[in-house]
Amino acid sequence: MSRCLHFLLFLLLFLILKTGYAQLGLESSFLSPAGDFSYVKKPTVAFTLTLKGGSIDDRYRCGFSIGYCNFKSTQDTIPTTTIQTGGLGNFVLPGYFVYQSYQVASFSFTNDFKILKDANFSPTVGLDLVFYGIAYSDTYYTETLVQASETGNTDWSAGILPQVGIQYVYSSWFLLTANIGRNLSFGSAAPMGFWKTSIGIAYYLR
Amino acid sequence: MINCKYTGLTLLRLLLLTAAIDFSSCSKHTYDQTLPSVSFLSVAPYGLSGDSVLISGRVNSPGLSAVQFVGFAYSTQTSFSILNNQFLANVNASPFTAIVPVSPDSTYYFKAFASNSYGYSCSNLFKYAASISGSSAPCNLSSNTALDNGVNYTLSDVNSGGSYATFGTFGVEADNGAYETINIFFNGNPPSGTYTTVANLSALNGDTNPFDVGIEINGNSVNAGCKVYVTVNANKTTTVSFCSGEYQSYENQYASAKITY
Repeated sequence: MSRCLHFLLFLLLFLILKTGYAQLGLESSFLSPAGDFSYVKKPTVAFTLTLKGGSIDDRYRCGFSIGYCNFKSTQDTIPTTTIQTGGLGNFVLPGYFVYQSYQVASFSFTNDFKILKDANFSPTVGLDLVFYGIAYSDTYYTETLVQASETGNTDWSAGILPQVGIQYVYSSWFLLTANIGRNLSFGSAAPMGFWKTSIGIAYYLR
Repeated sequence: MINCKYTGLTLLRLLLLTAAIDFSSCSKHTYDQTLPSVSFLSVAPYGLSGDSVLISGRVNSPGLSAVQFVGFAYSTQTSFSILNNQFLANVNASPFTAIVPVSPDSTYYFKAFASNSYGYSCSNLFKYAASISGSSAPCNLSSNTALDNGVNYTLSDVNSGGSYATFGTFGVEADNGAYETINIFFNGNPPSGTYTTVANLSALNGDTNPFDVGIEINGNSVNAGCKVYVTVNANKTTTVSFCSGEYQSYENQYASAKITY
């Protein structure tokens, strides 16, 4: 993982040095959980800071972003069962699971492509490669078996986030963007599927 | 040169507009949608000694994955977990049933549960008072008599068995040797318990609910919802009784009967 990160950092640095330009962006996103994830997590808001290479006229731009969000559970407790087998037969042991917190930091290698050349207003397509670091606290209980609370747990997930959107060159300094995409993740943590709708503003550094 | 104040206001408006669109499109999923939905159907005395009951439940929907386990739990308290006096049942049966021990003259609270890979859910509590004697209809009738539209009849001719099952698989036919005939149709030779009439007698054919029953009074079917009480007596006879079953003849009529076969 660190080799990959070093390569991507090198690539970004190369792009900035090559063109002499960079853009610093701030993005606000609405994350709407999808699939199984939608049954355990409520929609939430995420904030992302982006650094991309390239000038305001470039069609292809790439860079890095870091983001943060906090997913809240759809309900206080999630009922669980554990099957106990033994000499007296099978028993279904009832229990529950509670997420006290579920905070996600995202680290992305982000790419986007402006479809209309030399147009101030243009549709875009993009693809983010994302690593999610997850910090959570939970409590779980199974009748006659276990009761525990854990804080400071960590987990990870990785994913791709294809996006479509629009961008508007507001001035020679500012670029406005709006995107919608779907996160497809895999990894150690339960899959985090969500729709991401975002708006952002980028400021060009010269 | 950029007018910073104007730019800031425009961006703020755009942010607020997008946020409003985002939140209005928010879906309303809840975890309960992933879980099975289950109902507790009935509890009825089972056998002659009064120390066990036959209980039944039904999975209404499996949730988002296949149902793995179904069962019952019960207690003399109103608050208890599904591990309390737990009895697992056949997950493929609908309704699913279990025979569980009870102490006569005690009050119990039953609930059914079902689990899938997401978790489990329970039915509402069902209160049941176990008694030593079997249950009988709450109207005052002598054995093998009927009260039909205000007229008393003595049912002198009583027969039972599969050959009397015009509907279902087990029938009881009682008549006064003339023009008063009562037919009761069960799914199988009925154990002690409380049964409920169905809306359509033909629905009894292939019906898997063991507590459904049908009644005909002189060929007219009794409306749905009438309670029929069955008691298997110590001498191996069976008493079937019901009160004020409503049926349509030339007008709405009501019949009660108590039949022992």
